[in-house]
Amino acid sequence: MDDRTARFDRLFDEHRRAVYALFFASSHHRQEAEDGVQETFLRVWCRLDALPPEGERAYVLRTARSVAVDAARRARVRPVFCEEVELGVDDTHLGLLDAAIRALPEELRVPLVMTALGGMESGEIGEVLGKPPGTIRYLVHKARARLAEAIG
Amino acid sequence: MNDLLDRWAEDRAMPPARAEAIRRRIVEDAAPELGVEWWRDLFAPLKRSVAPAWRPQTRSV
Repeated sequence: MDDRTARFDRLFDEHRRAVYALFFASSHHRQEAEDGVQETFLRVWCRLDALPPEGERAYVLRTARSVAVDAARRARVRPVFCEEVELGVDDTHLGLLDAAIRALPEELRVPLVMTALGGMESGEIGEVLGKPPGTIRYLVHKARARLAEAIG
Repeated sequence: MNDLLDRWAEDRAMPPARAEAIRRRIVEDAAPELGVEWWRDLFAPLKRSVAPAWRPQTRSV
């Protein structure tokens, strides 16, 4: 394996979870999120030689955000190709939680999903969303309180 | 709530096999010198063509 591929593999392993969560947080749709991961890392792969070694994660997340903005723009004019597919949520509590997460307003849902699904810290979520870390912590706290209320 | 949220995240995470398929397709097929736009156009129909293997084909009009 050459150095370029080894570097890409490391970046993919380290950051794909956060990138996937970023897309899933907006769409709540697995295929949309996987498409976002593919497009993001395709851009990273093509521009890898220009990517400075420091700040790699920030670069990958900025790329993901840019892909998400482009996708949202295209979605306004494109037909719907598929419907959301339920993904094996056969547990009653999980199903309730999933419905409650979907029902959250976007302002609460996005930081919550990026935390829970992406394992991201409030600081980096704040960078992606353009909000201070303290605000992100508050929003995640509020989202969790809403969920606890919704599922009893 | 913590445990339930962890289980939800596990259930909703990208399956490792899908992640590996995406990674492999990029490193094996996408020659970087051709640029992102060229590969984006090629990859989108490729992905849809393999879709039935991992999700039901449903369409809403």
